Amino acid sequence: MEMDYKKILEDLEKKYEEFETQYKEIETDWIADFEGTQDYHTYMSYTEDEVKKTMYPEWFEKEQQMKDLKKKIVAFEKDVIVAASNVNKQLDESIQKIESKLKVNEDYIKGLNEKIENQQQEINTLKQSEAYINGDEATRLQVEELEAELVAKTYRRDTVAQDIFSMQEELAIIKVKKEQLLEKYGEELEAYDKASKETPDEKQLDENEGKDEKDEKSKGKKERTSNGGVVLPDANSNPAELSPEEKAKKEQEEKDKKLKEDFADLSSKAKKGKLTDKELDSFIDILKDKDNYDKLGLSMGLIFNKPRGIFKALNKKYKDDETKLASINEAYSIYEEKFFEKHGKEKLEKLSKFFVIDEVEHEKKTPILRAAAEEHEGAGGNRENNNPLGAELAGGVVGDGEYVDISSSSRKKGELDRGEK
Amino acid sequence: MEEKEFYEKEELEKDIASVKENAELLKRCTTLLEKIEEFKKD
Repeated sequence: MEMDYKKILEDLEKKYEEFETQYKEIETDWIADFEGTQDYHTYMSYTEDEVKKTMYPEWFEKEQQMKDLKKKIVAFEKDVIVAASNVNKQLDESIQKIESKLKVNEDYIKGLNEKIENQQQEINTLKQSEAYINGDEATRLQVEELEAELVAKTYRRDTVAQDIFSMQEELAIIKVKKEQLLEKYGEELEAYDKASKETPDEKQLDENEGKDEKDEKSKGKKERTSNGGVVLPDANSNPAELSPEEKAKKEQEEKDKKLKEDFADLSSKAKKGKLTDKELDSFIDILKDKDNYDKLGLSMGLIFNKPRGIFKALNKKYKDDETKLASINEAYSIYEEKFFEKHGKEKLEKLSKFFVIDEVEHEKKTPILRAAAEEHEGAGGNRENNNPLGAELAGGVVGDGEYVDISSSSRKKGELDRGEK
Repeated sequence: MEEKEFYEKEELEKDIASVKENAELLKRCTTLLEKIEEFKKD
């Protein structure tokens, strides 16, 4: 009896997606924190242990969570190999089954060929008979009848032969594809097969899968098409059949997908300093549109891991172009606002403290930060005048490298209290 | 398997569909194994 591996595989795929998503989410935060630990460690000359205790305990927790998840995923691989091995066996069985049936039909055709040959001979004999030559009506009718049967048999033979040929072709293609698929994992599956024959593991797994099959039997049937095929996602569904709402949703999804792809590409180039002018404009446009931050979701989150790296690269490249720097600065302000929303006040404070502590170095490295700070000194930079970075830099500094609590209520009003600690 | 003199086309088509379905499942298994392999590389 065939098992419902479709359901088993769906569960495995779902489980893997969950593992991977969970891992990526932790990793996203972890990388962001890692930058913090690294920078903080470097600039404050703290030991790793001190950083752990003071600023970023969560980083180490996340690192441990990631290690645990990785172990789970590696262990999970065995379940997939078991499923693949069983699916492969089932595939072999289904191929053998149809090959046997096609062989039966081939034999049937051979039999039919013999009958056709005999009938043709019979017709020829009759046609050469004295009765037929002399125009005997009964013999003529008999010949006509035999000829009509012959035509029908020949037609059937040709049709069945054509069907067998088509199906054999399809099977040959499937077998080639199967070999290609197994090229990479054939050895693992073989190793599992061998091991399973020697241990009771397989029996146990089959029992479990049998239970799944029983539970999901009716569901499995519904998931098949009328001709027994697999119900595939409607990626190729005809848009004309969609309702206007569905159509609009689909179009939006496609736009969002393109946005994610474009942004990933542009941010990668930005980090490497390889953006063309046109690409920079597109990149800045994306960053300036606040709606995009939600649309980009996790992808944006991943980019968030190294935003300063990107902005630093941009600053360096466009240090002599005031217009572009202004544009980059504006994008940074929006990024920071979204960062605040996403990570909360606490992380923003850490980020700001980092900038303040390293003010001297950053002034040298990042003209945009210096410019922002100067602008603040001159114009009282704050969130209201769209220069938050300037506000944090200039407003946060007290004496030589000390910093104030930039989250104070006075700061929010744009009236920085330089004496506040 | 029941021995017959001849199998109808419809029955064979169902079997072919089943073979295709199993091949598709095998493909999904290997895709999943590839994903895990990629993940392990990271």
